[in-house]
Order: sequence, then structure tokens, then C-alpha cells
Amino acid sequence: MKDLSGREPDRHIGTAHAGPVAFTAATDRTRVLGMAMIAGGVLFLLRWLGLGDRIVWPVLLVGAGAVVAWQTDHVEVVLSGTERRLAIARVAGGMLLVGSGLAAVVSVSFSAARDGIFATMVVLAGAGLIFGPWIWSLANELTAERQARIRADERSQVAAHLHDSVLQTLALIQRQSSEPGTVALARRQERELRGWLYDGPIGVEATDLRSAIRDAAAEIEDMHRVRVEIVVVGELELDEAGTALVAATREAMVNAAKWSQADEIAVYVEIEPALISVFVRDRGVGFVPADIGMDRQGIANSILDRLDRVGGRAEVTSEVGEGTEVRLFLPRVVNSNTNGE
Amino acid sequence: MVNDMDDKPISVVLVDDHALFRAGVRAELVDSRLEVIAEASDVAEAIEVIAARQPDVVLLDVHLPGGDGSAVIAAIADEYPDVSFLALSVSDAADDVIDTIRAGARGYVTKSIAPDELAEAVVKVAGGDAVFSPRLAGFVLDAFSRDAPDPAHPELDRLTPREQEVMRYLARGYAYKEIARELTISIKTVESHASAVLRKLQLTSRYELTSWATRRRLV
Repeated sequence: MKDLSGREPDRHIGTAHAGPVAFTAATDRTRVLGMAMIAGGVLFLLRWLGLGDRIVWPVLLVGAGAVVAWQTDHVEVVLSGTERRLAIARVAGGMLLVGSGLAAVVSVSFSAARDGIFATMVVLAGAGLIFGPWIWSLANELTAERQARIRADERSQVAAHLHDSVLQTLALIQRQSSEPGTVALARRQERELRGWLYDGPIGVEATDLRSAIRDAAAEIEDMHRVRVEIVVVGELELDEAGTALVAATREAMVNAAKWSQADEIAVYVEIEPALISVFVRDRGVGFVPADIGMDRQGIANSILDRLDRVGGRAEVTSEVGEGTEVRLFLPRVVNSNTNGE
Repeated sequence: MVNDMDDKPISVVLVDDHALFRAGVRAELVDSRLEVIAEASDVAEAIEVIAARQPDVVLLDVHLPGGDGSAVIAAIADEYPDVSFLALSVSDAADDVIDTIRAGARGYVTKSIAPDELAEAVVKVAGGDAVFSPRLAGFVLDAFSRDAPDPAHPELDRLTPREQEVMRYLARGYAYKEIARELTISIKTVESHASAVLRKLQLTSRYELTSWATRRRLV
């Protein structure tokens, strides 16, 4: 889930994995086999002890019930509809078998009281075997769920508090401090706090265009003491061309930060089905496009080169005193193979 | 609405729970066209002050003790339709901002806005125009481009090509004046496009607008 809002429980605070661990199919089969062998062993043991069929068969039934019901003890937090129905059916089957066993035991005549008591104990032990792990895991699961909920509540309270206090204060400092170092520091703190509250952690390699541009902008804000305001419409997983576009955007931002003397850079990214457009704009000093110096030419080239390789193009418009806008366009490769000849 | 803009400055009420922030904004709004006549720090106080003073514009923080900005608008809008609201927020929580707009705010700006731009935004809102921050414009583009419009109200669920163009420029950080020049149309026309989009944002039946905005943390 990439787009959890700050209001929801967050992934990087650690999702509490609910109690029971799902068994793999292989261990499941092994276990069923084991249960069958134990049941068989008990059967022979009872025969050997000289107990009659009246005891042996109920015990067998209980054993079978246990095998069936044991398979339900790995009920996960989330079960699909079919899985849930299946689980219910298994438990019901197990209970039916245990019930039959009990009925058989009860029907044993009182003259065989000794056998009866023994059989009852066996049945009780069986029931414990069947339901014990299930009840245990259910309790664990509930505890884990409650803990996760408490954690999420606490987190959203902390987020709301930080939002109403710290973010406000940081905004205030940026508005009212005339000390550029302080403003830059407050800006960085704001960005990191926002990142923690609303986005993924900073410092992890971005895999989508939005985060990648955000990260590049963060770097430039720190290096050049400008604000970079980013607006992104649409979503895109980064591929090779996307990475090149991010690099070109970064160059354009560096360019604006270095040359424009503006204190804010506006970046707008629009991802459309056939085209990605990036606009990097400042309201700085601007320049006459005809007499761009070598340095700027060099930077323009580094933007153009990066885009050229992936089939994109770039435009620069600038006016002295009005500012500069760099526009980057990257056509998306539309998969038209399926459209036949 | 402002009738005698030349004679009387636009009256403004500041609603924000941070006294320092109000003081800062008050100091910045030194503009002959504007006059800050009162302040309030929570929902109840805001409702009381606005009803008593009936300002032209309320600068309204989205998050307030005792409720949200939308609660203030809800309590005031019906009785005092001439009071305009401009949401001013540090919020990144899209649902709050969208709720405030849908409650009737004429615009949304972030607290990082430059003082002169803030004054300009207040003047615009007082004149009945809409104010879009780049983020809000981006949100509108994203929200309205995604799927087919509601067939029952297609006119509310779709942006015209011109409106879309205006929103794109706003998202790129262009001012109305600059957009007018780029599109070679009058500023008035740009403003009426923006107002039309605001109306659509407030009235559209795109029912999941808010939750969707939250998911995408767009505003």
C-alpha cells in the first residue's frame, strides 16, 4: 500500500503480525499423517489393554475429529468467504465426530463403569486437543488486533498533535525569521516531519515518480536554500525512462536554484496515458535565451542529453525579470503490439 | 461582497488558534485595500465574532479547537451569505481541505504563501473570485480526469477543455494575470473559469472525492 494517509495505521511503525503463523501445506500433511498414526497406535494400545469395540470405536471417532479440527487452528486474521466457510465446516465436522464419540461412551452400560470413565477422559483429552490450540490462537489474535488498534489510535493522535503544534510553529518560523539559515532548518524539519506523518520514510530508494522527485527536491532545498513546491497529478512506477526524467528534472531544479535568485521553485508533474510533462518554474531574474552563457548551456545540455536518450524533449522559456520555465516532455511507450497488423 | 471598494477597505477576520500566527498575518496584511477587524481562536469564538462583525472575508484555519473550519462555515454561511471564506492551512490532509472547500470556502492557500500573494488572494475572494493554490488545482485535475462523469450531472462532473487548461497553469504556479497573457484572454475570463471549477468542486456528486483525496494525499 503506497498511499496510506497519515490518518491510517502506518506501515513503518511496525504492523503487529497477529498471533498464529500459517502452516505450510507440507507441514499440514505431515501433521495429519502424524495424527492418523497416533490414532492408530492408541487403537492398538486399547485393544491390547483388552478394551472392547465399544470403547475403541468412539476413541477412533474422536481421534478423526481431532485430525479434522486441528487443521482449523491456523485461522488467520483475514479469511476469505470460502475459506471461512471451509473452516466452519471443518470445526462442525470435528464436533460431530466428538459428539458421536461421546454418545457412544454414554451408551456404554454402567457395568462397564471403569471403561466408561476411561473413555470419558480420553474424550475430554481429545476435545482439549481439538479446541485448545484454536482457542489459544483466537485469544492471541484478538490481543494482537487490539494492540494494533491501540497503536494506530496513538499514532493518529500523535500525528494530529504534531500537525497542530509543531508544523504550525515551523510554518511560523519560516514566515517570520529573516535569518536564512533558520528558515532553511525549519523547512527541512517541516519536510522530514511531513514525510514521517504522510509519506514513506525519507532515505529509502524511491520506486515511483512522485517520491523520486520529492527526494530530489529535498536535496536541492538543503543545498541551495530555496523552497521547492511540488504538485504531481497521476502516478507512475519508475522505469529507465522515468529515472532519466527525474534526473533531468533535478538538473532543471538545480539550474533554477543556482541562477534564478528566486526563493521558490514550482514543479508541476502531470502523468497522462501517452505523455509525462514536467514544468519547473521560477519567478527569478530570467535571461535572454539568445545569450545564454556557457555554464547555462552546459546545464541545458545535461537536461537535453538525459531526455534524448529516452525519447523525450525539453523547452526553455525565459524573460528577463519574469523568470524561467523549463518544460520536459516524455512520451510513454504505449503497448500497441496487441492491436495486430 | 464589497460594494465600495474605493471608499472602504475589505474587512477581514482572522481565525487561527495560534496567536503568534495571527499576529504575523496581521502584520503582513498591511495593504491599503484590507483591514483586519477582529481575530478568533476557536470555532465558538469565530462564529460569535463573525456574526457580530460580518466581515467581507474570513481567513480560516482548517484545524481549530472545538471543530474544523468547515463547522464555522456551516454555522455562518446560511445566515450571512455575504461573508466569504478563504482557507489558510498547513494541512496536508486532503480531507480537511476538501471538506472546507465543499462547505463553501472560496479558496485554499497554504501558510507558506508570500504576504503579497495572501493579500491578493483576500482581495480576490472578497470580489467573489476563487483562489486555487497549485496543489488544489492539481487535485482538481486529478480528481476530474480519472473516470467517466456521472451521467446524471455531466456538467458538474467534467471540466471543459478551457477550464482544464486554466487549472494546469494554476498547478504550474501561474497567476491569473499570467494565465490571461498566455491564453490571450482577459483576466475576467480566467477568473470566471476558475469560479466555474470551484463550483463544480463544491457541487459534484463524485461521492468518494474526499476519501480518494486522502488516499492520494493530494492537497
